[in-house]
Amino acid sequence: MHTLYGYEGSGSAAVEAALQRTGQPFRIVRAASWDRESSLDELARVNPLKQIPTLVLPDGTALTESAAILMHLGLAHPGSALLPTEPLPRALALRGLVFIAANCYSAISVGDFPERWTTATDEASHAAVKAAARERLHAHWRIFADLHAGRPFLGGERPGALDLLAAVVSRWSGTRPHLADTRPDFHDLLVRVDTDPGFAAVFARHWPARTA
Amino acid sequence: MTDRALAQALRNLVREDAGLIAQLRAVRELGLADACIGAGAVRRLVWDARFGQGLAAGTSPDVDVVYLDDQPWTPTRDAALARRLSSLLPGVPWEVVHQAHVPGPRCGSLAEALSRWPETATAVGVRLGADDGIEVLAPLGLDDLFDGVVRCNPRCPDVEAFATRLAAKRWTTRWPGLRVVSDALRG
Repeated sequence: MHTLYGYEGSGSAAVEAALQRTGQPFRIVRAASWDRESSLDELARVNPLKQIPTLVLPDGTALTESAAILMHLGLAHPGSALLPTEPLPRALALRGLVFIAANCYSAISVGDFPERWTTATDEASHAAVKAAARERLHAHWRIFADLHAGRPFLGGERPGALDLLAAVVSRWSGTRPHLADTRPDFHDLLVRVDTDPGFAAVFARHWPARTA
Repeated sequence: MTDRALAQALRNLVREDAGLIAQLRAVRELGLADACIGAGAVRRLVWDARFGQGLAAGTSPDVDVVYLDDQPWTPTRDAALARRLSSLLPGVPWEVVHQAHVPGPRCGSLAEALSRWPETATAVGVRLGADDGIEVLAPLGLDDLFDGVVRCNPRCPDVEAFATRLAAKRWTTRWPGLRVVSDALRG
């Protein structure tokens, strides 16, 4: 049995949807560092850094990093169609997952904690870093949208791991409204992922209303 | 979106909320020099619009009216203003607080007082101008409010108080799309 440590509205949504696709039994443990009533002690026992999502595999191995977890699930369960089975499309999907983790997730992190990314201590400098990170984040998403055509999904006929991570990470830091303005076709694709019958229940639990 | 665009988005939301407009009119009737409705009423308006409403049985939360002027603060004055508001608009749980009464150095303006509130998304107020225009006070910006980011105010970080408020307010339960951004709470 897999155990997923996560929280509503967090990156664990993508992993939860992927787990559901694999058909593997799993249990969810609600845990987040900011919610002291959640199962934080249990999370700390399997991952002292208390990151979510953390996925504990049936053999007890704790995996972190959303992109890596999605890659693992896709590769370990080829029948799930989370990743393409052909080498080249699969390589492109893996590139997309790494792109989101390396460029988009990291830009969100810079915007979340601007004080880490400058030696200046004044508020204006932190605000400038935050604004630049947001611009960079949106630029990365425009690049992503131009690199990855949906046919009709990023994963092909069915939404896959890349669709899931894109649909989740694009919910933050004003990305969806930005894409609606600048890359409307890609924005429509993300909405198709949100409402895909295979994922809709998970997304609705994590984000009960549309995130504008 | 720019701060200006977000302020306009907030004005639009306020304009569509007849209850809040009525409350703002009542506050304007008080004729205070520098006053607004802030914190929960504004936060709730935006988060309901962005992250869905009715996800938790909501009790009727206070409507926080804050003001600042040169007159000395007395508890009876705040209470009298609340009674006046109740007579203008009954049935609203008015909570009136002169910002000179809050701890810390005296604030030079209401916006400065808001900038000391505990979370960035909380430090937002709105008021109705004489011409019915909606004025927005957001000394810490509007990004976090609209992005659904719950962040301890970096100007006066009190991590313990922040954690206590998170537990008491249960924002992430009511609006699961929110993101809590906190380094300190990771430890």
